[in-house]
Amino acid sequence: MKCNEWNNEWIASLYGEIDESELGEMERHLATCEGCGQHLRQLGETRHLLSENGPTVESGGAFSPRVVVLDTARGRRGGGWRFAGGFAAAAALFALGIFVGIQAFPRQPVVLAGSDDGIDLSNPQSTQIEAIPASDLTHLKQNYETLEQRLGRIETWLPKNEGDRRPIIATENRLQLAVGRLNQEFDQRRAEDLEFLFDAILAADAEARQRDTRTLQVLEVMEARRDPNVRPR
Amino acid sequence: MNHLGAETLIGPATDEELVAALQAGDMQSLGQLVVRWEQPLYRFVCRMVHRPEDARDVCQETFLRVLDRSDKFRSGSRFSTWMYQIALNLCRDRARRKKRWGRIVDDGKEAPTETTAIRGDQLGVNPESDSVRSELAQAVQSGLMQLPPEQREVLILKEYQGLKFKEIAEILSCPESTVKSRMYYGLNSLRQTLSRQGIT
Repeated sequence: MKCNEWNNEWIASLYGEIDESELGEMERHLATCEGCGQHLRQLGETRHLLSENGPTVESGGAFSPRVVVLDTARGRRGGGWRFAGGFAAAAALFALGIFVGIQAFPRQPVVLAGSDDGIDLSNPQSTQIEAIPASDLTHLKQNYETLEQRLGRIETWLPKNEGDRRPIIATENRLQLAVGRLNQEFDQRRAEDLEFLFDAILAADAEARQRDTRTLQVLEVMEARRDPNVRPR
Repeated sequence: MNHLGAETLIGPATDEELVAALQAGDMQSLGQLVVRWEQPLYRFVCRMVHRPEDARDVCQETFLRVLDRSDKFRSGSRFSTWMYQIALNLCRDRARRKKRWGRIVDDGKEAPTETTAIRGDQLGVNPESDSVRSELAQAVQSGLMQLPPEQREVLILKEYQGLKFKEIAEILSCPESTVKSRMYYGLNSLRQTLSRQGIT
């Protein structure tokens, strides 16, 4: 064997784990090779340094209490299944309790106030409000425009200054009477129209209030329907 | 009478018998194993990881794995080998996570510089001096720390745990010749490191 082939045997001999036959062969080589002998001595010195100056280890006494945890660790084996089983049992008991409670104390159906006024609570679309016809307002506007035109034409023919000579188609008195009647008609129509507008506004307001009320009622019905203990009358 | 009770009439149960009892659900056998092995295991792990707190965690985890995987223990195997395998893998995992392969030996200090290196003549002045011994130990530990992990593992298992080469080979799952080879190169590298510092 060459010198560099004895490495494993050097190590085995240092720790006393070499066969007798290998030991004899190694000693014969050492007797003829000074370099290998010196190398083996150096390895021995290094091993001695390593043995005498290795990493110091503090006392492991502090470790012992931690081992106590192991006494309970066994309980952790299969802990997931045990927890799942306990959870399932608790859930089953809870469901059973609810079922018994419902059977023993049935809840009375909720009757909503205001549901007797003819509103079909089962059909929220039935509470729609009719809109105010737009043609009425257009008609009012046309009437006012006509009156304004008639009044304008009459005032055009009235003399603005003394000495004005306009074609006289009527006496001044008749014109004043015509203007007076027109103004009276105008005021009357305006009063009637204002009354109509006020009535329309009030009606619209009343309709809006009624619509809001019905909307609230419908919402209450819809909310109540989510409760399994509420059934429509 | 439980398993351990029967054993006490005959004699101390072997580690493997205790593992068999553990497989059968006898928790007291685990306690026996812990009492028997906690100190050697702690000393080994403490030399492999940097901090004593980490060593305690690794020991704790090792015994927990022994508990959880006792059914995977093969009959005919040695418990100590199996336990060291678990602990070594945990140490490697921890070192890999922390990316501290260079610091897994319980030292954590940098290699001595030229100014702090121990000269050989210092050993001759007063070998028993505490300061010199401390510096020498520091140099050895630093040199050990600079070794590749596979060589350091072998040196620790052999030198400080006193395991046979065959047992180390089983722990590392490699041929016995590989263990001896790593031992040789590790020891030779350590010698060269110390020699550069004038120690050997």
